[in-house]
Amino acid sequence: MRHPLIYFMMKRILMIIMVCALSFSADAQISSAKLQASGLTCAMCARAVYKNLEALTFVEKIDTDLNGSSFLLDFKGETTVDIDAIRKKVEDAGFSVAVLDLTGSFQEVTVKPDQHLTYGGSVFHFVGVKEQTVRGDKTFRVIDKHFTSAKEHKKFQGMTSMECFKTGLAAGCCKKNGVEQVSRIYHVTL
Amino acid sequence: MRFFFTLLGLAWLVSAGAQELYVFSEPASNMPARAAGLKYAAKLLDGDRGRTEQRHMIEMQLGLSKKWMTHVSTSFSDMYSNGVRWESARIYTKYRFISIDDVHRHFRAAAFGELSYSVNYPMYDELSLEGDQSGARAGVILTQLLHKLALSSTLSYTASLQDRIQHIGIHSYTYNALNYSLSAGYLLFPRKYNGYGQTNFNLYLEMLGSRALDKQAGFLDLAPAVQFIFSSNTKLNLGYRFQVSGDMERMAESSFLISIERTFLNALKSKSP
Repeated sequence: MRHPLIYFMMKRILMIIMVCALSFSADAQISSAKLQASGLTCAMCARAVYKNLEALTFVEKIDTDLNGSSFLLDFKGETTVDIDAIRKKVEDAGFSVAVLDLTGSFQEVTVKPDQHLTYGGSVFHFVGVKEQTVRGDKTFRVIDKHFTSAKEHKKFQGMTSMECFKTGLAAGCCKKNGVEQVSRIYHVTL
Repeated sequence: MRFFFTLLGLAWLVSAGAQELYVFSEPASNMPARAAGLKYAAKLLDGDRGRTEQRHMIEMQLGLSKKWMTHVSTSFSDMYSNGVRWESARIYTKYRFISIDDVHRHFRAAAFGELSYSVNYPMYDELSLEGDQSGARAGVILTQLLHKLALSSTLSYTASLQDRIQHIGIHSYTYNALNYSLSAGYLLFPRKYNGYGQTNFNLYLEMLGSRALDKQAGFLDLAPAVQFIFSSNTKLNLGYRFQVSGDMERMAESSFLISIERTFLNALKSKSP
């Protein structure tokens, strides 16, 4: 017969583990983003970007840094963040995305170069990273075309031989990772 | 001329963020997709009839997509009549075909076309589609933003589509002209942003020229202007345009322009999420 105290403790520990596991899975999505827009300096232009981003259904709140043309986006919980829709909104306002940093919390995940990771409803392909284990809040940068400068995109192109990097769409190179062809793959770096 | 380049040089020196919402010309950049704008402009000049003449213009602007935009406008004036009356309608469309963005800078190129219908019988050589004449215009615009300074140039061809045969015998008229402009805009205030509600103040200096293609005539104007932007959505523009050189028959060699413009973002229905 177990000691009631040990039984109580074990139950407590199990509960804590369950709560942690639950909170991790609930948080398995992109929670916020920092976006820098390019091609503008005026507040009127920034307001056009702001208003467009505000119209996205998965955006909860936006803070603007007008001097840096940057926007801090908080996303609603339990919604899928459509990364391409963010870019489209900036371009519709007449400008471009210079930097897009996405933040999400991770349980223990091993990240390797040229490896795919499905996270928060999107498929990510890591480029220019060392093999590592990520946990907790982590920020990663989108390096696909039209999400960064052409120069930056080119720099990362030298770090991968996979053809999906050029188009952002799953190609023959991705099949072995069990990703369906023509699905969107976002290339990111840590 | 020298004055203009001195000012341009000064603007370069203090260049830090800036503006291309020119008062007398259009930049190559477009308004946001699905945005709408409403503009009222008044032009005042001392005509050759010894009184101040006025033109009132109302314009609707639409951002059809990120690359296409269009303006539809109408005007009323007493420049060709004793009292103010309706005189013209105009459509303008612009297509942005190059857009290279960098943080706090961009280069854009656009092509535009314009058509106007006017009830006036113009007796001057200056070709203008803002109400004076029925005509067509097409051209290209190049705009460069360098933080607070924005430079833009326009080259266009204007053709009068008006039958002015009743005036032959007095002198021959201009029917075709080449128009050109060089514009500079500078964001003077605020020096540092702290919100969308802050009033912005921009300084502009534009050089506007025209050269007739079917006779020896032309002019070159200088047009300084100031602009206030309230709440990041309403513009108030005040400008003065005057001739620095020229030998073209014109209604007036100088004029005042005052305009107010309001932008409504996401006014048109969106197709995407």
